[in-house]
Amino acid sequence: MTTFLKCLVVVLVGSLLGLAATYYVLVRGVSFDEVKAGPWTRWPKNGSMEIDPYARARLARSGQLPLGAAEGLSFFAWKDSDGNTLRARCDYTVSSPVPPSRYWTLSLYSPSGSLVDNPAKRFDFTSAEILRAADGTFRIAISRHARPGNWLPVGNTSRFSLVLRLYDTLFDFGMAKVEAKALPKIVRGHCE
Amino acid sequence: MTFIDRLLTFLLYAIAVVFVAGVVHLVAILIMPEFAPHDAFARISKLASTHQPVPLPQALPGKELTPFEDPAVAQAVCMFDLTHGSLHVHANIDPEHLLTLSFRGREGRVFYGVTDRAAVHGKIDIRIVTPEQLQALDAQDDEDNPPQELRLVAPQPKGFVLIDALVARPGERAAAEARAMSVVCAPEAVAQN
Repeated sequence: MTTFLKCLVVVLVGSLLGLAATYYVLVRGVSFDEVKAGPWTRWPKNGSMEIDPYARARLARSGQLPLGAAEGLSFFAWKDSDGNTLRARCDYTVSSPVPPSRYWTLSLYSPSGSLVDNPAKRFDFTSAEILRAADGTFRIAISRHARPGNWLPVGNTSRFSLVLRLYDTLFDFGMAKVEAKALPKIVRGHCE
Repeated sequence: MTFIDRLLTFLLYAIAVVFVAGVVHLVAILIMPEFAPHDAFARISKLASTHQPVPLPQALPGKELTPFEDPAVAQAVCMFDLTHGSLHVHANIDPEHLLTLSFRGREGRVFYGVTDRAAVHGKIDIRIVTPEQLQALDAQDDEDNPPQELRLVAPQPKGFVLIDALVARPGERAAAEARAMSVVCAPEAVAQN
């Protein structure tokens, strides 16, 4: 009888530990194909059949629909180019370059991926609508307060994230590393 | 019982606990995509049940269907269930505007994707089939007149086609929605020999 009880305890404790490890891995975001370039992170296999079981489980839990590999690439940022967390009380400038693609979009979300409401009702910029300098470069100002030019407002949130999507890229990046200097810089300005 | 005996017994149980934990962890990770109650498939199934394209609501604060939705695209979705026949997806393409299609299985993997750039003579013509349906179709093909359609074998009988049309400028949303909805998804029975 005691052996039976001990086995029961082993199974119970083991199951609890196993579920706890699963929860930790999903929340923490352990990944086998994370590629970092400056402030940006991407998961190149998320939009393909080669996606690993951990990434699949994480997407199933969050409900996120990754962009298909043939549709485009997405780059996520929760930190600026200096490695500091993106905070709504600070101003930021996102500036060119963007890797060659037919279109790109830059969108602002809460850290977990919901859109942040703001009076200007602007949540993103697309490459087609952005104001550019004569040499084709651009700057996007991210701030709580209205800014001239391309202004991406931050609503009522304390931290935020940015996602850059390249649609119909002219290069097949595959697993190749996109260098940080080919991607926009996120530079922090004044903080309140 | 000596100290060594106790230590060995304890170690044995510890190893058993770690083993059980490992198995539970792996099983939980692997079955997650099939059973997650709020995955993308479950969220989309609430809005769309038929093979006809159904528009997905515009991504607005508090009304997003999924996290990290691109607010600059208009989306539509066709659900499919190949147990009752194949799904024929075709569209006339306007080369000026970005339109992308991604083919996804029930467990969320993207098994194929195209953009409007892949259109041949202004058309996208794709048929999603099971391996058995592919065999039956290939056997029926006329060798002198090969079919124009691209045949894709789905990894699972159930899934969905996600259609994205880019809203390049704020005033273009209605046009982008119309472009996404202009994709035709039609179930077609495959005669089995």
